Amino acid sequence: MCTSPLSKRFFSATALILCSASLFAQSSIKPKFNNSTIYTGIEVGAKGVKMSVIEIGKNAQSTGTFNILKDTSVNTDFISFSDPTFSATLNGLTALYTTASKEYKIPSKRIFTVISSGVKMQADKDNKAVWIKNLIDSFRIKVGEASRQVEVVNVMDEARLSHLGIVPDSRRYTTFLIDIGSGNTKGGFFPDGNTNNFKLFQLNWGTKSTSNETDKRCADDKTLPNYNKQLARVLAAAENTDIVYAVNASGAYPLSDNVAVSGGIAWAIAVLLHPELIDNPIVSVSYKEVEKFSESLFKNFNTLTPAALTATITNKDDKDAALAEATRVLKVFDQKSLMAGTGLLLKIMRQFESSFESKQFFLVKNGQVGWVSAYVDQTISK
Amino acid sequence: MLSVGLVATWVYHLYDKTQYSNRKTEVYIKDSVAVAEGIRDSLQKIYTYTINNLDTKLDSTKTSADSLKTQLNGKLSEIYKLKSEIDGILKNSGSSKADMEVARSKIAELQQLIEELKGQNTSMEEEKKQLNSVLSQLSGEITGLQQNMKKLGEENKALSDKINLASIFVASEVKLIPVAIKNDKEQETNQAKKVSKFVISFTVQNNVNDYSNADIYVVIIQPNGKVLKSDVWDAFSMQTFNGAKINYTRKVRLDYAKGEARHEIFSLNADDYEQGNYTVQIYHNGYLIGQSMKTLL
Repeated sequence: MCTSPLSKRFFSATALILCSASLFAQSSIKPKFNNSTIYTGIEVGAKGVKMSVIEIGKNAQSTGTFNILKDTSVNTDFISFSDPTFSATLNGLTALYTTASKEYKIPSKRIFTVISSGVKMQADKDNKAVWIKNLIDSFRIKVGEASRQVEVVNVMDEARLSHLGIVPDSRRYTTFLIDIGSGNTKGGFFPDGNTNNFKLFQLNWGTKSTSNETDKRCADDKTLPNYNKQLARVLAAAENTDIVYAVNASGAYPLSDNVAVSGGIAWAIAVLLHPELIDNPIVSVSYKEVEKFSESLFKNFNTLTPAALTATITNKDDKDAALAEATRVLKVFDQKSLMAGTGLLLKIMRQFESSFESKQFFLVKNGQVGWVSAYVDQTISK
Repeated sequence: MLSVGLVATWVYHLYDKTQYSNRKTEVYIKDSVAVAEGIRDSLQKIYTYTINNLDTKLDSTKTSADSLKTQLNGKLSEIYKLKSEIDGILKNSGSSKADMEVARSKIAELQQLIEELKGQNTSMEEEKKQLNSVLSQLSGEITGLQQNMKKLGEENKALSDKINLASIFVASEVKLIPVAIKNDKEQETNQAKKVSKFVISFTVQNNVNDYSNADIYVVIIQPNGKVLKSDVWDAFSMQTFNGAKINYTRKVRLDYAKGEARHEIFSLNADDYEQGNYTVQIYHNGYLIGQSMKTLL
């Protein structure tokens, strides 16, 4: 069995994980603050296992400040629910946990392990819930912690935890948090002035799905002007059939002063629109600003180079960091996917724009690790 | 004798008159065709000369008078019409003397028209020269006006800047006070390790404008050169007067009545307090209006 090609690939993947974990361990963790505590969140997602080491300042809950020290992931494709991908996921999870506890010396109580809602949804759909249970049991045995908590979160929990982790207490009941993912958009808010009741918001449109639908409509004409034209049609249809309804049904408009948007596209726009705010995990934007940015993506994309965007930053450290981050954004998103994601964001923002009252919009750069911050809060309160 | 003489004189006179009258009629009848032909030849010469001369003039007129083409075309069609009529008369071998008179009159008319055209052409060329001269003059004036406008624009901008500067707040008493909290008592400290919060205070004033929503930006630069961000949901960037974007620590919005010395005070908690120099800068409308420094040991 061990000599089969599949097994060889599996062992190679495991070796790679362990090797990368070891390399990862060699790099030191330098906290940004003196009076802070370091936490680690390890999340088994649909496509892989992700570890985020974050530093939370003493005023985190009141100010919403947390700092990402390390962020890494291994692709294991757990939702294939096959023996090799199960083993790869288990080994990846164990390796990352061991790195956090042994190399970074982070106490077990400050390492949080969860199974994402995407995995749970797929397992429920395929009747494979037992694979999740087996993964958790195997992981507990491998790390020698029989009572280790590995929570399986659902969509509601994930959105709720993200809100609790990202949005500071001072804005808890006035902020509508929206996470634009690749395949869908989810989020919500607390409508009753307490954290017991969370109103979920869901939309079957994400950055990738919008881009894919546009590509499909482009047929043989793959030119940018045609993509732009078809994108406008896709977004108009999405707005009329789904977005308007979802926002109205959520009841968020009258209860929210702030609309915070997280997800990959929010990070990308925040970095490209305000490179000078490289240290800010949150960036404030206006509808007009994003609209202008959207036009630039189509008409003047070649001017959005990292060098041009960071030209006015005077602090050298900030400039270097902004340059690197803008380069990273442009590697993750190409012109068309940026156009699709920004277009979708604009359609959502538009539901909160009116001539009488406009909400304040925020882009959250590291929304994906917000849940760790929420876990910290829960742990402290226990 | 006298009577006979008078009668004889009258008889001679009457005889002579008869003779004279008879001879005159004869001559007229005998020479009429030849005279007409002579006249035709003479007119033909005048006409040919006139037409030849006209063609040259017309060409130059055509090229030099584009702007008055319609008017010219009217005159030319009149000329061509006359030309055609004269041609018709002169080519008709049976033209009478009366016809010849008509032709003469038309040729005279044609000549007059051509003279008019010549005069018009000359005046058009002169007008063109004049217009060119006016145009040059106007161009010069426009350039002058543009320069003047540019100068006025610059002066206007300078004045606007002065007015803007005059309407900008002046900040005074800018302070950053590090505070230590011990047993619920607050005390100023210079020791970085003991600092629990910063208290920032300043006074702003201007004697020109009232403000319903004046944004004052407070920038606290830490010893490491970075701007302190105590609340990441309320600390972004602003544009300075020269277009640069700088990060700020806190935005203070205030309603203001001109002349008022407005004192602002707030505290903020940082995640960390470092040893070294903290600089507080106050900005309004993109201008630095006041600053101070505090050193933590």
